[in-house]
Amino acid sequence: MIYFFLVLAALIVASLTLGPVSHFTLAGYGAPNLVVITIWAFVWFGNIQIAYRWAIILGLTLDFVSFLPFGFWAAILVLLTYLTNQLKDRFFELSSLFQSLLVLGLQLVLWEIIIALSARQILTTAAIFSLFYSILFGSLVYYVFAVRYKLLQRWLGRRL
Amino acid sequence: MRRFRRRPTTLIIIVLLIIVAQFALFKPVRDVARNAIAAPVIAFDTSVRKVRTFFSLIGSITELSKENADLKQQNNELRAQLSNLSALKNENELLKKDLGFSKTRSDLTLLPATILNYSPAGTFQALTLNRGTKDGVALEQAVVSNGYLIGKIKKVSESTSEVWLLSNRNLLTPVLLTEGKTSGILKGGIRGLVVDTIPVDAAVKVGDLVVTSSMEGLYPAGIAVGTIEEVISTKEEIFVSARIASPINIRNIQTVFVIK
Repeated sequence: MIYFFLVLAALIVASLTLGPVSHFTLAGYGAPNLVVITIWAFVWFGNIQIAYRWAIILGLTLDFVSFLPFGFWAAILVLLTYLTNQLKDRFFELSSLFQSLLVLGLQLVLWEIIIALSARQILTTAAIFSLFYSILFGSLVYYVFAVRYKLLQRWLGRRL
Repeated sequence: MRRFRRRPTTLIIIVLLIIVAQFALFKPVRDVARNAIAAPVIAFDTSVRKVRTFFSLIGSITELSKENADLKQQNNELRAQLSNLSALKNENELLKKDLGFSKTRSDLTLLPATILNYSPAGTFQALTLNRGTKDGVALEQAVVSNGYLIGKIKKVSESTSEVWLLSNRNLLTPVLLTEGKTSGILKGGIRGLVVDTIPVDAAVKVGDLVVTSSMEGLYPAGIAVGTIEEVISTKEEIFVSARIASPINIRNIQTVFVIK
C-alpha cells in the first residue's frame, strides 16, 4: 500500500516539477524546488527507510522522462537523502525550525551545485528565487508537520 | 538502506534496471513514459497559468474599484470579455505569425510540435517536444516560434526530442549583424544572450536585427534571432559585445516548429 501512495505522490510531484515549476524557473522567476523539499520532509519528519524508497521512486520517475543517462536523478536524490540524514543525525536538532530550514538550504545549495556541474551552467537569479521560495514553502511544511500534527510535543516537549 | 540489506532483491532489480536502461532498446520505454506523463504535466501547467491570469485580473479589478465604484461591475464584465478577446487575439496573432513565417520561408520545411515538458531542473535550459525520428526530426535541427529561433534539437528518440534553448550556455549559434555585414557567435549565460568578439569598427546599433548565419551549415540562414538591446564595450578592448533581446517569452510558448 505504501508503494502505491509513494508512486502516486511521485507522479504528482514529477508532473508539477516537469510542468509549472520548471516552466517558471526557465522563465527566470524561480519556483519552490518540490523534489528537494519532499526529500527533506521525508528525512526530517518521517522514516529514513521510506525516505530512501521515496528518493528512488521519484528519481526513477524523473529518469524515465528525462533525456539524461538513466539513474542520474535517482542517484542524486539518494545522495541528498543520505547527506540530509547524516546532517540530521550528527549535527542538527530535530525540533529546531532554524536548523531544519538550514539543512533544507544546504540541500538546495548542494542540488544547485550538482545540477550546475552537470549542465555546465547556472541560472543565478532563478536559483536565488528558488532558494527563497523553497525556504518559504519549507517553513509551511514545517508548521504543518510540527505544529498541526503535534510532532513538537513528541520531540522532548520543546516548543518553537 | 538497512531494508535493502535485508532484501537485496529490490536493490538488485533497481541496479539491473539502471544497467538495462543504458542500452538503446530501452529508449522506446522512455518515449512512452514521456508521452504518458505529458497529460498531467500540461494540465498542471495550464491550471497554474489560469490561476496566475485570474490573480492578475483580480489585481486590476481592485485598481479599478478605487477609481470608480459605480463603474466597477460594468468594468469587470468588460474586462473579463476583453481578457478573453485579447487571449484569442494573441493566439490568433501568434498563429498568423507562424503561418506568415511558413509562407515567407517556403524554402524551409516546418514541422509543428507541442512542448511535452521542461527539464526537471530549469538550469538545463531544455524542453521536450512530442516529435522524434519517426517524424523526421534529427539532431542539430533548428526550432522556431513565431518566426524567431528559440533553440536546437540536441537529443532525439523515436517519438520525442529535447531542445536546448538559445539561453543554454553550451549552445553556440552563428549569427549575422549589421544587415549581414558582421558575423558573430551568439551564446547564452548569466548576462543573457550575448554576441562576443564583434570588431570594434563594426557599426553595431541598438535595435538592429540579428539573424542566423549559415556558417558551418548549422542553421538555415536568415532566421530572426532578436534585436540588439545593448552594446557593451570597454576602452582597452578591440572587440565589443552585444546583448540580444528576443521577443519570444518562453513562458507563453506551447507549440513550436522544427525546421527539417
